[in-house]
Amino acid sequence: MKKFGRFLARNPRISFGFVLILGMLLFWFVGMVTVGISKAVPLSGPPDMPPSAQYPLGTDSAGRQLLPVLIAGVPLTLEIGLLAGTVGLLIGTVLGFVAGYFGGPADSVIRTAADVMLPIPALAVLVVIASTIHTLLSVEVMALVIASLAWMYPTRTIRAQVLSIRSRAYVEVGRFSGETDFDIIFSELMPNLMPYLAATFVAAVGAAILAGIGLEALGLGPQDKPTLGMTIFWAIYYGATLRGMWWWWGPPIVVLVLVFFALFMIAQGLDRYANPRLRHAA
Amino acid sequence: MSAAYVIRRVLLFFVVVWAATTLIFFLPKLAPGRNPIVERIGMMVATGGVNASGMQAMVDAYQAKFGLDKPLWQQYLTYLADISHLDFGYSLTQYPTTVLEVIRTALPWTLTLLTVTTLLAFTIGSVLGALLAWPRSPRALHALLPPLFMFSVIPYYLFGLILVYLLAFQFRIFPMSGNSQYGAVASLTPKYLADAAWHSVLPGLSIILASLGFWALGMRAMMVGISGEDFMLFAEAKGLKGNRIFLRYAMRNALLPQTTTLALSLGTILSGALLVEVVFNYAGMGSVLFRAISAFDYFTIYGVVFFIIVGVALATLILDLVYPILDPRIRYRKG
Amino acid sequence: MTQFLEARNVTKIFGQGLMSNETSLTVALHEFSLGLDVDPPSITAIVGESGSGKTTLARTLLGLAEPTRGEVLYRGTDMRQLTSAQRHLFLREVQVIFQDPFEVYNPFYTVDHVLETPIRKMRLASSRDEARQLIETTLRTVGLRPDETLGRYPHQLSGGQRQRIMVARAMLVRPRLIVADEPVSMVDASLRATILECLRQLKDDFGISLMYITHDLTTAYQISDNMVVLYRGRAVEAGDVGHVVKDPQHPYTRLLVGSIPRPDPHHPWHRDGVSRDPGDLSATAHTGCMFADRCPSVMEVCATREPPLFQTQPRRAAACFLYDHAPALSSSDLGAVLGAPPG
Repeated sequence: MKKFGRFLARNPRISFGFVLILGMLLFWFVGMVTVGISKAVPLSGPPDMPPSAQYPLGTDSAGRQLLPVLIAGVPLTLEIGLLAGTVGLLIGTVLGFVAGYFGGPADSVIRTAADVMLPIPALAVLVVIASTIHTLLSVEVMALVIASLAWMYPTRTIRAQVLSIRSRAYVEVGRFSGETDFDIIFSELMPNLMPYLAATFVAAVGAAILAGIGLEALGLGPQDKPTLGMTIFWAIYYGATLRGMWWWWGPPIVVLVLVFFALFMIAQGLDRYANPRLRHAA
Repeated sequence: MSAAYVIRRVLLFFVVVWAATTLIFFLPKLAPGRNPIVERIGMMVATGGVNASGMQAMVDAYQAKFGLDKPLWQQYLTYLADISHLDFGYSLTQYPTTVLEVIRTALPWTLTLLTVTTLLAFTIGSVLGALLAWPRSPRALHALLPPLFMFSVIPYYLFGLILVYLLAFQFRIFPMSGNSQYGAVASLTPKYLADAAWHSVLPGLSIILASLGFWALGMRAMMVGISGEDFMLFAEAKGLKGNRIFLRYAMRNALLPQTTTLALSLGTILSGALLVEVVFNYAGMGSVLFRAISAFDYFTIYGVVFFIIVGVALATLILDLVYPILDPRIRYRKG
Repeated sequence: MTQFLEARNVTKIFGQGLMSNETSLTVALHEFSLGLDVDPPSITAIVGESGSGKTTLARTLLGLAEPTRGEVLYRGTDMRQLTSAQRHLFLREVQVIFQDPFEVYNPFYTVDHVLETPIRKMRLASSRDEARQLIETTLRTVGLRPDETLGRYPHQLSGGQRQRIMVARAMLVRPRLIVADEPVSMVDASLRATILECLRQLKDDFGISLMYITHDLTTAYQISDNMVVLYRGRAVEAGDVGHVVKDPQHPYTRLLVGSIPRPDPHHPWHRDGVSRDPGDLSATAHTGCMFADRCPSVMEVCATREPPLFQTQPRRAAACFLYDHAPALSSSDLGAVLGAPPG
């Protein structure tokens, strides 16, 4: 734990991003305890009210109070990102290691599959899937759907990294010390790839959240849960933009921007950590 | 560039398109339980909206081709044959317009918006990024860094929402939606074109401003990397003028990985642009897709998705073929 | 009689693939045969310049590379067909020391990792205390102090220390044979003798044979019993180390020995016998002796076919037509001239 603390201290960008995300979780926690999310459902208040003392973030056209909506939305959107990012990274890591370490036919198949699927715009396929099962779209299902198209980039990156270190001398020494392939992958290679795995994870989470709100902007999200993306969708749907109801779609945008900014900072920080050369650049 | 390389790339293009179309065909069929198209049509028949516009005939024709009694492989082959003729069926919401017609009307708008904004953002952003990496550039430019950072993180369409509020609602400078005055008929008159251009400013600006940061930061990183290379030091030692080094040596080399990034980002850019169209009710493919999803017009959805995939694959192919022209190393290596 | 470790007509060619042509191939080893016995223990030096194939030979003998043609046998079984049990035995009997004392360490771990892993994986100790004991004793054997070495990261130790830890690692399992590929060429000159002496002691104290691969004749002479001289993938001379160095028979060996500068101003480095640079190292079909283009004693026959190894003395062999009056050895008999050290 102390090692982690020192790590954060030496990498200000990562700390900053971390703090932002923790701040958001804090907001959610405090919000749950003080305000609660019971009023995040329609008919909890008069519709279309601008912010006031009674309704701190106003209400939307269906009568939802928007502060509870925001409080409820933060963890939902983060959940999609984390779940999809984790699943995507797991698949990508397994495939990347198998392809990079064992090579051969497995490598050819995995590499071709990733190369063919990468240029396909994820949103397009996601739209097809999501519109087909739109009645089944819960937060978890959305995350899994997004993850199914999130593995290609991690696979390629991790495969490249594995290729670059699998013939290092210490791997051969490991073999002569009785290590099996399994040992080598987990004990020798993986620890050295931690920065890359972490960077890939952050990128995957960011991409997942982006894909999530993209789908939701088209209406392809959980219909009954106020994720940040769906809130914005409802705002557009009810013409809140034309009516200047900034309190409806504004706060979700602010939160989203903060999330992306935090992830961006963490990604940059990890980049600098993995490539010390970058630390001295401009 | 060798013939083998070209053939391979073109082949990859067809493989990608084939893989994507196959995916679109089979994925809906994997849905637990039922076929959404059939269900949708069934729903329309039930609500009686079918007979009015002769849709029954279409429904029958569809059933004949893709009915559940037909073996899957036969359906697949028929599907492939149709797609290769660009026959996507009829738009369920705008019957009797075919999906192809709907797309054909919307496509030029999306294409113009995309190409103009991407070119502008890429060029301006890259030049900006290069200047930011060059020690002899004006200090004032560096003040742009923080906003560029911020903007690059925001998805295009969220940026669009902000812009709409600020510039169309609060300060009524630009129109809020649509791509032309309400009721205007599309034509190639200067008046119409000017009107259309005016309506495109906000959507275009959203995309440009939001992606400027990305290109600038990327270019800056490449330039920094290249400046550290030995050949740059040698050029300076040789006594070459700063501007010449900047343009011919640094920028030219940095453009290569920057172009690669462009090729890889095409899918993301397109997706972002479509969502921007939704926000502005801009009559391009984005809005078509949006309306189709709301109405469960599956034929249109699949048609638009197909065009998206082919479009991105085609653009990537073109870039891949252009790349060797930019990078002489590849030219000579591949024969 | 099956030999402990044997290379039979091993040929190793690099650069073969779908798109290779003649000029992109490199023949690292050409029909090379060598048999090693570890009873009684002995130290054999494999000497050669860069490109001679010595590292390739080491890697094929260790099973880290597969021969393009020919086979490597461990106790009579082809290395590519070892069962799991045989492989375990192999790891217990044959160990390795690599050249680069930095790359062999995983930068993520302290140096303890390379010592603890074999103990754990090959079950050399039954408890953590026993393992600790074993590590400390072994470190002291190679001349290191455990308290100064353990718990450190590789970059915190010197090259000499790191290489000695590698020696310690290799002997943990008490192998019959250690293959050391240029173990001291990346170590400071002052430490080389110490480490080599340590390796030599392993033979006396623990009965561990050593295959010492190097380009440096002097250190080879210092510690070895036998020597094999490689030139471009082929054995050109072999035998008792004292004789080979003091009375080299093959023109190449003479060149090597003559290149050793003597710190005596009255004996200038002689110019004659220094030949042209070796030609192109590619695999183009070559007839005749590989050294012919550099050989001061070249004869007509040298261009027509490759000389086999001629056994000039009971424990000497040289592959040169200068000695074609002596009986020719079949290639698999190279081990015959590498006898036990005297006494």
